[in-house]
Amino acid sequence: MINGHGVESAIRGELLSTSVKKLLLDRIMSGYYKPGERIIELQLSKELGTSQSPVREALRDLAAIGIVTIHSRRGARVRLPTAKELSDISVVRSEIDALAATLAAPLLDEDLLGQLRETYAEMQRHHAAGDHVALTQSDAQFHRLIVTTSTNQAIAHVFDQLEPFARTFITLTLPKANVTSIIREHKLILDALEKGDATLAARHAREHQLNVSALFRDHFDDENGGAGAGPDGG
Amino acid sequence: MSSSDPLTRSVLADQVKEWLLEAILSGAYPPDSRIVETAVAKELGTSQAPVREALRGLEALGIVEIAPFRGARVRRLEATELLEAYVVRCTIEVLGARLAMARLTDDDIAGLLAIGEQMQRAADASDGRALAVVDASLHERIMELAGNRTLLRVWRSLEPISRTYITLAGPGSDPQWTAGLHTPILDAIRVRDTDGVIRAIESHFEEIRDWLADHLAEVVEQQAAGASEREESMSAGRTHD
Repeated sequence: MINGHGVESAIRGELLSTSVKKLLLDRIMSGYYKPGERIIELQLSKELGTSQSPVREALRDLAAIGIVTIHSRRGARVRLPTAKELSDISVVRSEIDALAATLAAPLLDEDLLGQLRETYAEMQRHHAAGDHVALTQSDAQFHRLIVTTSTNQAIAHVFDQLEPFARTFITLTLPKANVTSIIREHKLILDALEKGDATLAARHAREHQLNVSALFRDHFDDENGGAGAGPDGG
Repeated sequence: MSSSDPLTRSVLADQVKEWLLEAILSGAYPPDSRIVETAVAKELGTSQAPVREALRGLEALGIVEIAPFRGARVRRLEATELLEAYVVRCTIEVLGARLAMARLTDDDIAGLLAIGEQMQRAADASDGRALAVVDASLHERIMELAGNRTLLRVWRSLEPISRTYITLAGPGSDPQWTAGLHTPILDAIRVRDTDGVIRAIESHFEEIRDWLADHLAEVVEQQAAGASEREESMSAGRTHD
């Protein structure tokens, strides 16, 4: 999260625009900003006590990964992606995650396996409590652990491009879909990794993302049908 | 044309990004050299905003790094980093080819084969620069035909890093070898043999990886030598063609 003036984060070495970007992602994910809603540069920079340029840069970064569209010189709008777009992302994730699992399998030690088990347990708790935002965060964390363990920077780079987008919009789908079996698929990946079976782990990681892809394809449009124009926050 | 219009600004930033990428690939900005926003803006006759945006775009591609208060610097890529990028690019291309093969029209196939002929002509003329451009356009066309925009975007984010080393290591490679790597891919596309295309793409990347692994030590030395010459090349000024 950003502090009042945001200056400290720049001193810590993190660009101010990076902090603003994280804040915006949190807000879109939590539903504070809804698809179609406008984010006005000046208004946000006043609220955060920063100049407009880090806000503009953060919005441009989010535009680059497809989460907002820049719609005027003063601001941006949260995009409403199509079901195909979301489903396409998970198709790409299927191969990226399979590759990550293949490379990570021989590198996972007891400590990392423990973290994966704990993250899976968190997912189940959040699912039971109906906390979709926390659930998607733990879900992302589970996959991220495998990606970082693979130690391949290019995999991490692609994962970082794709993960926030799917996470942002899956929160809109979760309340309507039955995801119990999709959540259980993480256990299959985990079991294969515990056995050190790279091929099996890759297969389950791939199938998991393909099922997420189908979830988007089958449920995303239905739920948002008619909301194409989106609400206007301005 | 107002530079404050976001669309114009973004198109201009893309042009500046391509220009900077070319300058980095040509060695005008070697690894570790600084890219000064004001200097680039002055050279190109633009404001600083599109230059800043272009640099952020290159940062996202892993080509430069931007530190608070210190500006942009060309990243020195580790050999392992390039090899890692190739593994991922291969995975993406295999997926893209599988998706594309299911959708190809006869016109698409004719278009791909025409690119293959252009590649052979560039190789016959020993035109390394044209060859690199046609090579990239063949791969990119297959990724476009996959019909998955995310896949295309990811591919485009990985391609410049591979290009960096290809250009650096390029003078030592044989154009006929490069063009020949693509013949099995095109042959399999011609007869709509999906498994054949996938095998051909995988072996294309394996051959490049092996070749790079053999040549990387040399490339790393070239980079180090280039860095020490950067002051001269920076002050000598360059023109962009």
